[in-house]
Amino acid sequence: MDIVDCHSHVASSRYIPDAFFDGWVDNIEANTAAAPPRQREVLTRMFRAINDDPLCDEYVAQMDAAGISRAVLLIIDFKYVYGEPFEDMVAIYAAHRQVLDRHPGRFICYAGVDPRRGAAGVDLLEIGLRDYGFSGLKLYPPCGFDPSDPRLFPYYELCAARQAPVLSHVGPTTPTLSFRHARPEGMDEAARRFPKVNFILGHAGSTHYQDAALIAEYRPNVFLDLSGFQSATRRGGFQDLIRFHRNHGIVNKLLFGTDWPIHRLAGEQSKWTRAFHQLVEDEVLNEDELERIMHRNFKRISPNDFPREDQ
Amino acid sequence: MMQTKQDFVVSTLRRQLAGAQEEVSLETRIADLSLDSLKFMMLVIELQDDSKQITVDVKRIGAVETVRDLVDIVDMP
Repeated sequence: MDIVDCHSHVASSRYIPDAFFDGWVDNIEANTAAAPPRQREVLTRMFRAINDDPLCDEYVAQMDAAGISRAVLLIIDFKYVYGEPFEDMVAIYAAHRQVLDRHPGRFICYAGVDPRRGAAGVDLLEIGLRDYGFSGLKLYPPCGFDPSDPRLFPYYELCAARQAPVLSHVGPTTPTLSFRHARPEGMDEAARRFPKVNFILGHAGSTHYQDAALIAEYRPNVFLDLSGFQSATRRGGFQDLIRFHRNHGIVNKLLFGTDWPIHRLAGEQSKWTRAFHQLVEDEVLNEDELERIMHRNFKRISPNDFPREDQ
Repeated sequence: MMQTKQDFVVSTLRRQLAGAQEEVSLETRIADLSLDSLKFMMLVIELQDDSKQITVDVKRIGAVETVRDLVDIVDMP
């Protein structure tokens, strides 16, 4: 079976700043009853270690072992949170292009833009799509904007013209960012106004998933990325999560994703694809439904990367 | 007598399981122990003891399924 991972990142502190993971360490400390000595230092070192594969060589090895043929690399524009390193997004785009060229046919890339860049941001998206061969737009509303903000409409018009999907983060993230704009319903107005754009709610197949499922059920152009399901596997609720979506009749709206390298400490990519194959063994899904989740749904909304004859 | 790597990992694991009467062998699956993700993280922290030059290959933690796998990623001089 072909597998396409709709949600991943290049593991590098250049794109996912150390400060992002430091917030995770804060949460682990807050949730630990009795902190071992050196906890913060060791945790920090661990997160630095998993966020270090800037050319994606380790990632491709894990994709191979997991049977993942292609993965979407999402670029996040953190300019309004982390400042200077994200001033020059074109340089970040170029570095991602190098990764695409280093591993031909393995990666698809979505350009990250913060709408507060205004007209320059639209130009940036155009550059990403036209000059760097990127395929979609990645939004990160916890940086401080609403995904249905009218300032994003010119971006969505461009996406409609180019048949480029939009993937927007849903759910909590590192504690220094705002969770206010990360609810699934934040995307609803944009999805209504731009019916020709396919909107992927990042993580919403597993986070705020009940509200997200309703939107996916009633908006033809809204899809749910399942990345983050790893937390449900740890809690023993993964199969119930998939049953919930199946019972809502939205199997056609679910997309397999892993959010590499975020869950790297909890398992390798092969562990996650095995969890999905197990769904057929345990009769949660049939083979056809699994195929739709693992690759066919994503291919259907990505005509530029998967022309109809390839689907 | 010098402590072996295996002894060190198992004794640290037992400390983390504090009180739980669970059998621990090299073939024991970590997922079968009463060790949630937070406790597992604490275990990995305890295993990294700079003063004894003990290190853990962090990039391989994701592949750990059994106690033996855990022993394999610990480097102890």
